[in-house]
Amino acid sequence: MSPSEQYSVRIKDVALLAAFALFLSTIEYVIPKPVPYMRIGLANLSVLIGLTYLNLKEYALLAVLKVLGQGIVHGTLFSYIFLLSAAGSFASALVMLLIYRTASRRISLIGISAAGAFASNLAQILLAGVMLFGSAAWLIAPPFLAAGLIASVVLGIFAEKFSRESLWLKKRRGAAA
Amino acid sequence: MKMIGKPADAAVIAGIVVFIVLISFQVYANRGEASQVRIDAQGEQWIYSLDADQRVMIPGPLGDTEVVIKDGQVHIPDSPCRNKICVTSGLIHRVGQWLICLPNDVFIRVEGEVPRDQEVDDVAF
Repeated sequence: MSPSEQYSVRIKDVALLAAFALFLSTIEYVIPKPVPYMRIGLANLSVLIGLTYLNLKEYALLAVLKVLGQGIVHGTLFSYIFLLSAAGSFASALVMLLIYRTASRRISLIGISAAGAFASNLAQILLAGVMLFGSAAWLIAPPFLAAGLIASVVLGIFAEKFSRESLWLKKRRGAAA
Repeated sequence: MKMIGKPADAAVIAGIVVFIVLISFQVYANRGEASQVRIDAQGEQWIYSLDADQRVMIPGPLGDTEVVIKDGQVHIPDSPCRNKICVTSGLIHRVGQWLICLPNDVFIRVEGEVPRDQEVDDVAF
């Protein structure tokens, strides 16, 4: 495959994963949650999948598209909530990338997903503390972090299984390599 | 069931659990009898006694959030927000419990013993 053909394959995969994130954001938006600022992080699934075969630039692009997509779907694009969401997504994407690049032999997508959700929630709590509530933001930290941990481990198990067994993903990786 | 994780997964998850437990102790540790209500709104702070029944209006960007202290319990009967999550949060009375109206930027918290540098502000209403 020529470089330009390869580029076109890869950029399509980024677009596909971003569309997937948008779709999952919509699903997440529809699921009722006990408190509105609690998130399951379904859209993180596409970032986890992307992590396993995209290069740095494509991965960053995917993260940006995911954040924008979520802002549009949740209708928060031009509010302070978007800042929280963006900070969370980028913190999580960065932590997951660092762990994957340095320790993917010892850690699966399950641990990476948990660490990513933790980073996302921590970033949001810190930012909420700075922007809105001061140290009182820590009051919601325990249930917020605990819910995030449970949701992220479940998503991580799914992502790990999917990443190992999906024939579709195997084909995509082959096409992108 | 076949194990699908790798060894460091458990370490990461355990680390996060330990962090959550530690932060819970930090945040929810019993700090004495519930005795006062602290209200933060738009950078201002009010402190009311939990023992004196009263109704206060806290100004926010959308209007006044109504806060009622009665029989040692606090609740928000009405607030000019859309979702009324603060209203449906119900009554709070234990140290560390909180009520929050995000849209109207009102934050209410039950606190324990009175810090030395703060007197109970019972002047309003």
